Amino acid sequence: MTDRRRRLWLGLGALAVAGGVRWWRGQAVDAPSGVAAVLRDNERNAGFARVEGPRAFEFPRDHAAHPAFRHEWWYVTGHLRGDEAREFGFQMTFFRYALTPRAIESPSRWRARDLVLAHFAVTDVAGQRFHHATRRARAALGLAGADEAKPCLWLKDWQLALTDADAGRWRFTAATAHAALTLTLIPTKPLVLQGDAGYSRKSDAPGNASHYYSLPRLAASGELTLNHATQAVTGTAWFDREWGTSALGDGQSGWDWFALQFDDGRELTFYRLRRLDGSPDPHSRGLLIAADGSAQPLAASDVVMTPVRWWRSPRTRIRYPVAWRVEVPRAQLNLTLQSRLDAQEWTGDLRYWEGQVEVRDGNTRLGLGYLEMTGYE
Amino acid sequence: MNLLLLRATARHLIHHPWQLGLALLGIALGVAVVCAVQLTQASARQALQYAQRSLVGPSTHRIEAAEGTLDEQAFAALAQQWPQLSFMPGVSGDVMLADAPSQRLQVIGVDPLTASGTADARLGPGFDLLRFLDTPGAALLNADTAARLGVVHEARLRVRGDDGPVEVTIVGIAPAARDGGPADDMLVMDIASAQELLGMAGHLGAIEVALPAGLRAADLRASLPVGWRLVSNATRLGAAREMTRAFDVNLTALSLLALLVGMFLIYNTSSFLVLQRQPLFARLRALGVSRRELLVALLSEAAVLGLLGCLAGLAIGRGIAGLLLAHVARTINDLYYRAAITEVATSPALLAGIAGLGLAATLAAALPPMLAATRVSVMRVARPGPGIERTPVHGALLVRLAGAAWAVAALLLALPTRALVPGFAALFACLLGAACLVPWLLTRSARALARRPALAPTTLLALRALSMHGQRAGLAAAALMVACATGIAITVMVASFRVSVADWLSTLLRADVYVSLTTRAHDDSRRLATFRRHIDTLPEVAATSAVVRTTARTAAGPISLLAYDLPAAARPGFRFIAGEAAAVWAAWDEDTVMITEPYAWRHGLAPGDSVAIDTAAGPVAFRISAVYRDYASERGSVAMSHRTYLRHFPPRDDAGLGVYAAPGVGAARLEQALRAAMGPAADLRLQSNASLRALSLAVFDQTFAVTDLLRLLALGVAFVGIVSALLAQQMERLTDYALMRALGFRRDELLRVVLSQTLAAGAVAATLAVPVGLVLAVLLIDVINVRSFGWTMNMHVPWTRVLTAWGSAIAAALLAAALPAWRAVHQAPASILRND
Repeated sequence: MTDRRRRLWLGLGALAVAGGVRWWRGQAVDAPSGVAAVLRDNERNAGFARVEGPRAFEFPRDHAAHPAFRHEWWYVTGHLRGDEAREFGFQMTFFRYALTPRAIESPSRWRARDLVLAHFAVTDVAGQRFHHATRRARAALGLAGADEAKPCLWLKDWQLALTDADAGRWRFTAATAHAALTLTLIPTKPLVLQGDAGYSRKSDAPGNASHYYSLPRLAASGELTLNHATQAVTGTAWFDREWGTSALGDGQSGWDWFALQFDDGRELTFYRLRRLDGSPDPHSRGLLIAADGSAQPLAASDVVMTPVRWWRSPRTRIRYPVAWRVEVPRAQLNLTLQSRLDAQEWTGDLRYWEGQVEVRDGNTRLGLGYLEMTGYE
Repeated sequence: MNLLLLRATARHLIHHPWQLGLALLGIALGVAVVCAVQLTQASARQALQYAQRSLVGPSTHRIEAAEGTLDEQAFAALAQQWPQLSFMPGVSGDVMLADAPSQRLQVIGVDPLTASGTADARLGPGFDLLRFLDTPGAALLNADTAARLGVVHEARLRVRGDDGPVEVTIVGIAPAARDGGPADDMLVMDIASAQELLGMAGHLGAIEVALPAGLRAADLRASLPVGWRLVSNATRLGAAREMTRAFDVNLTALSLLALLVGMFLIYNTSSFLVLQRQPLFARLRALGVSRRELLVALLSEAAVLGLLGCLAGLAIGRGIAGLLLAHVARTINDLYYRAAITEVATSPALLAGIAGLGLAATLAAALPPMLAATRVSVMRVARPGPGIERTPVHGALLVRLAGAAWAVAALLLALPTRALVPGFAALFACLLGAACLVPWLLTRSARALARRPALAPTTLLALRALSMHGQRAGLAAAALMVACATGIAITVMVASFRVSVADWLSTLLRADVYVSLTTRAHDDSRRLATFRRHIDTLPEVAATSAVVRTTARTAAGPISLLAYDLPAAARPGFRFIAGEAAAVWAAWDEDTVMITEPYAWRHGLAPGDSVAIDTAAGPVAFRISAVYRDYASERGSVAMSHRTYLRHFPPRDDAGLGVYAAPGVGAARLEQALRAAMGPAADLRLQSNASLRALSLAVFDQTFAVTDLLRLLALGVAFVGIVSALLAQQMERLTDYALMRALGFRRDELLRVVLSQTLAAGAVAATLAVPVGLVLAVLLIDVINVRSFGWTMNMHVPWTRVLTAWGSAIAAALLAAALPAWRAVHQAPASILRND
């Protein structure tokens, strides 16, 4: 529902409006208000399909793009181990944002229907470095695209594609100036549907929703090149897929999202929407996935999140809670999330914090996760 | 005491506002012209910088096609090959407003998505990127342009491209160019909208790229497709400036000429102010004021006057710059590069520099009379009143000065250099030498005339007075001569140039109709070649000629290469300056080339030499068979036959066709037949011989419009000079006139005395200006033009206009005398004599 769409909107809304302002002016911009302005502008979404109920997913078809909808993303985060057990986190995101519901006929190849935006980051835990890069382009001239027929996203040489549909094998490759990563991802647990059978509602209004599912655990293996030295890496990944059209309502200031992978084979994901007054929004949702793949839905009231440590970005002066206490009384979970590197902040077109966290219970390490926080000032 | 001194001198000036005003005006006008030209040039440079500034981010280099456009598929391949680089592709072209066709706008299509995250503010606050991307025809203008066109946010603007009127929607108003926004008259669009509007689908104009520190330009250059080149921004800007260097130097020289005339004026005015106050100075000296103190006081006065004059001059100059700018902008756009030059660039440093120059000129011109003033004899106290302490005219000294100036001029011309500055220095020396002769010539001729018997007493009186007090009139006449001679020289030069160009055009343009591509892209990459094959079969067509235009590389840099396919009828169109026509055409297809005159001049080449041009198989030396006259490009070009071209270079489409009508077929019928052959696409431009010739001459006239304007300005300065000089002279001689009136001279007789003096001064100046002007014209044609552009031309003297200039100089002198004469005649003699 609202949650990840917000993330999208932070991505694409910022690109659309705030991003426009920000980038052209090279100045800080009040992203939430800029985004909110666009989100209320539903005129722009006329002509696009709406998500109005659960859908019969069909794979691998639904891994590919759905251009009838306004926006869509492929979101991979994960945890890698390289030479001498050195640990890394990574994030690879492709956003698709449709400019028009139907292609406009034009002699110009640049009159594209979609924009593609990609974010790629590697967190070097031992080196305490956060390597990240953004790319964006319109889906034109073969330089970028989100294929409708087969699951394949690319932006120049950055790529994320389902290379073997039967084995469910994905492959991605991306690079920044200092870090390059090529990974093969194979699911080791079944796909889980978020919300109501993948119908993720953001509010009571019909159509304000998205289709949302996740691959909670994939085995990752490949090569990481850091500062021109290449090493083999293996680990696990989390894959989120979501698409929809309509925008957010008022009253929300941002959200805190996480996806945790426990060493015992379980996963916990939750997004907490924050209202303008700071209180959690009742539309917050989550899932607790057992080792056998069965998923137990979590409502807003099932999870209590409390910030325990704040970090102020030296670049944007924004304060983020980089350590949390997470309590799930129903599952007898009492966890601490601790960032593995405080400076995992995105400061380009979009401003948010997304990074690897360690999951602990007291002094016991239970696993690793990815935490995303937006809307902080 | 200094205060007393200053008060004393200041009071005098306040009581003689005319003199004060004229002194200020003289300084102001001289400074104004220099200021106007400098500001205009600075504006052109600034506009160039704005035009070249990337709209989407910081770039260090630009990828361009050696000719034409870049293929966007090849761009996509390049971007894939260099994924880490941020390429910023763009297209550009011109459209005009549908309702005001004279208003052209430059369309720039950018891909805003390639902008870097930290890119500067180019497109303005509140810029709606989505709208820009998803609305066909969405465009931005800068605030100045929007205000000028009266366009507001969300307005629709009808523009006319090659396909007729199209509507664009203004989705944002960007900051003004000076605030970092797009250049003036620029319509910024998304690349898709721009390609649609300009009919440039599939084509890119240029690609900007920011090379990171670790990447060598050579590596990127090596991976570019054939015909693409990578140019650094610094080189690009430098090349554009280099192109207009000669043009700049010419304008600067003209403006300095105006300053020179202005200096005459200052010298004149300040010497008069000094002379008039001699009794005062004598009294001050008698009171114990030292020479030094007096000099300091006078210099301070001159500095204050100079400063005030300069400030006024800067203000006037800025105004004139606005007038000049339109002319210069069109010349630059027609001949050199595309840049919307609409705003006068006012840089404080530049203004300060000009003010400094004006001040220095004022002090330099005022110093000699002031030094003379400090040597005034205390005895002058005994004879108060506006008497005259005449410094005798050192005729011999002036003649010697003139001789020296001419010797310098001759020396400068003899220097074995092709530099422009010594050429202009010689020109100035020549002019100054002639100016030195004027006062001497005036007194001499007045004396000689006065000796003639049977002169009317009034005339005699006038001539005698002139021969005795002619110094002041001589100075004014010198200024008039300088202005008039310069005017004549420029008139003769421009006329010679125009006649030569017209002559060249009528020789060269032998075909009846010319065909060229319009700016829009064509599906057929060989559109003109195809069209030519097609029309060769038409009964209306007797023959066709074709030219391929391309840029080739030589060791000395890129050259413009022309490959002609010429029917026999076209050959007499070439006029050879060196080389035999028969020999040229005999060896035409055998790896020989002809070079244009500017090319020969720039590279010091003659028939028999050779040009080594890079081909796919390495450099090939082409023998030069001839040098031909060509005014099309001041950089020069190399021409070869189309067959020779195809042996060494990849084939490419023709750039233009010439079509010769079959016997008995008129141009109109031929054009009709060609239009029918073109089909409904109407994608080619047809021009008749006459219209092409008229268009070329119109461009020529446009180019020299600015020269004309400057010539008028110099004349204006001289006119003010004459008024001030005559006024001063009449003031000096008021006592004499009063005495004459008291002795019984009638008013009309007195008037005749005053006017005949002026007439004599004007006549001497104007008459001397004719030969001097012609000599200067020869220098302009044979030295300045050759050194600037490498063009020779035949001298052509438009006698009517020379005579008009001669007449207007005399008329200007008379007109300038009107006010002083009126004052002289209407003074009450008694009051003046009582004061004496």
